[in-house]
Amino acid sequence: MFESLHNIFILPWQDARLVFWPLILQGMLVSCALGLLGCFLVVRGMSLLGDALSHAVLPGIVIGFLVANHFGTASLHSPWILVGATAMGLVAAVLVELVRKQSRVKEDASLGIVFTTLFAFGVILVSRYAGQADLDPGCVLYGNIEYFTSLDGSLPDGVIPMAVILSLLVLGIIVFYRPLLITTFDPSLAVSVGIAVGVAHYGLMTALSLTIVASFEAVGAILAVGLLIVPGATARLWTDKLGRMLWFTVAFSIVSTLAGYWLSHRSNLNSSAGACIAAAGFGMFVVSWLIAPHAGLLSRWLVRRRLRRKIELENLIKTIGELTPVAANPPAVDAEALRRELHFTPGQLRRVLDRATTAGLLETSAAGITLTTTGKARQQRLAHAHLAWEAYLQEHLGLPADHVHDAAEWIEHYLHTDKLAAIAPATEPR
Amino acid sequence: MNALSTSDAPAMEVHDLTVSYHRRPVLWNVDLAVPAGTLVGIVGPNGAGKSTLIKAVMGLLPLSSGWVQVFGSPIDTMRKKVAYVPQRESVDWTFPVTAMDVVLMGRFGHVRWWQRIGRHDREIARESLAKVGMLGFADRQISNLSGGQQQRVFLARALAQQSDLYLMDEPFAGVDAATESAIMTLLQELRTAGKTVLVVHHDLQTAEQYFDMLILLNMRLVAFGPTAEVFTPTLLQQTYGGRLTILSEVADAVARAERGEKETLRNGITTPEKL
Repeated sequence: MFESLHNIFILPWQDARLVFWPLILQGMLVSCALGLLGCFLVVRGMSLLGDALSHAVLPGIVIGFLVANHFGTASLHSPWILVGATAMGLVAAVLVELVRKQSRVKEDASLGIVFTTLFAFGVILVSRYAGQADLDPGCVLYGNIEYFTSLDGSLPDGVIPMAVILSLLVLGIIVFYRPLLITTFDPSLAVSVGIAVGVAHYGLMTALSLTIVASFEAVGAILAVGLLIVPGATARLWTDKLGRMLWFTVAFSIVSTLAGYWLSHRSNLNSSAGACIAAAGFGMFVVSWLIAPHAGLLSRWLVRRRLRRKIELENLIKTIGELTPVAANPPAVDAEALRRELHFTPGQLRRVLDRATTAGLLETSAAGITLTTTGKARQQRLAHAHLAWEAYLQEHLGLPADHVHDAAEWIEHYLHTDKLAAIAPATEPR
Repeated sequence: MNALSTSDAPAMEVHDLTVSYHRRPVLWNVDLAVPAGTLVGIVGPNGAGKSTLIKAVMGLLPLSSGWVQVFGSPIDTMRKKVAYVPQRESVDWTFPVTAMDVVLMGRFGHVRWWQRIGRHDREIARESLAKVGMLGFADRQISNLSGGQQQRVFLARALAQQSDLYLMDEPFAGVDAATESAIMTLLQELRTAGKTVLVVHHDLQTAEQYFDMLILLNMRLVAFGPTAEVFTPTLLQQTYGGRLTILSEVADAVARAERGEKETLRNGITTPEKL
């Protein structure tokens, strides 16, 4: 009895202490490194270059592996693999530029040509030498974060190199932030002040190849691209400043790693951790798309709803004014007549009336609806705006009288007091 | 040339400059010596090579022949003395930076890569924004600015570079009348302060009143001189005159020859077998 309880509640956490946290650390390092680089790709409009490089480095991996094998240190953690793949990434970046500049082929096609060719070359190498070397293409493509697991609780093999790469990246971004910013935003200005655009580009490509290769064993080539672009693209929805975008990216990378691990290990999904991290990242993108402060669908919907409500309210007040004869003590307006005039549904009218009453613009009695003093002032300002705009259109745009009413009907809701004073100094409210 | 004469060197000197795009020459054998302290307009029809001229001076394009000097020295040694304002459309205005960030980029050439952008640089950037009437928009993301405001930000960035020679590519393109007159006032202030300003300009009607000197360009230098002397019907006719000039026909022939086609021009010039 006690033993089974122990198995259910205690053992997983002991496992967690031994295995789980190093894996999470590994995932965070990978996704932060990829995410930070991805920010620059996103703002440069080069997101697909990550995809290209992740495929194009395959021959470099194989060559590096064969070199390592030759020296008798064959392992997927051999530095030769990082060197070979980074060099191949740089070759790919140079080839893409070369094909683009020296032929009629545009950049997207140039990417397509270079990365598939290099990948094909890599596949040929793998099939040719697979017998001699224990290289698993599946691991390169799909990754296996558990590969890093070491059951004795020490740090997994990949953590230290990944931590070094992330530190170098952060240092590089801090030191070279200005050149990266200026060569990205305005390359011609960069050249004109003597900053080497090519060095910045190829520097970024080298860092990208290195990071992608180092991430392969954890998440695989295909998912690496997801971790590269999704956090940066999500961060872009939350801020309009590049510096803050980098911080948001780090936050999203960490949160999606945690959520991904939870999905993979704690839920019943029991699936590849790398895939779950990427899926969690996409989830965060969708949530951000909905709720981000300015770019989000929700905030845009709220802005439009506020505007629609304002227009409804103003149309109500204006129509009450139109249905009321000019008198010292005007009679109340019948709700049904008002509704027909406005083409509102009964429910809509009730809601608008409620909002107007709450705002103190009108009062409802047994006799009907009357505007309060505030309501009258608002109604006069609207009428003023309407007349002023009609006059302005007739006078300055030379529109015939029958053209101006509908235009003014629409624009009166948008004319603020200062604009109004500018266009119609002499027009009197009715 | 001795040391004394360099102080009298022209603000910008171009000698026998030829520039090609994809082997097709677009600017032929241009000679220019722009004196310091002048406000110069570069005018000519579409495709005349106006932008190409200032890009070539800035070293943004490779030269097919000739050389460029700024205040008597090669451009690479004089980068701090020259500010370049590219066409507004050349950058991505949805980029996540504020107007202030863009203007601060004008200071990047003045600080070493390990140095920080300091208070002094921010002060200069703020002053520059104020001069173009954009200080109130310093923290706006640049996509929230109108076309005229974006152009003002670009000018503020050039001001922040505190250079002696300003090369501007169509600063009046697509801006409102208020911005145009604000820019013009600014350019005159720069000239009064002894700076040299070259402006690629599209509108012939205003060119005459805006500039001290004009560069009339149509693939070659048609004329360069004080506005009163070169803004003449004859020279303008030569610049804008009618149909394709012989130069663009030859340029086409060069491009065709590079593609491997052999062809005889209408007027009997045979493309060279090999260039």
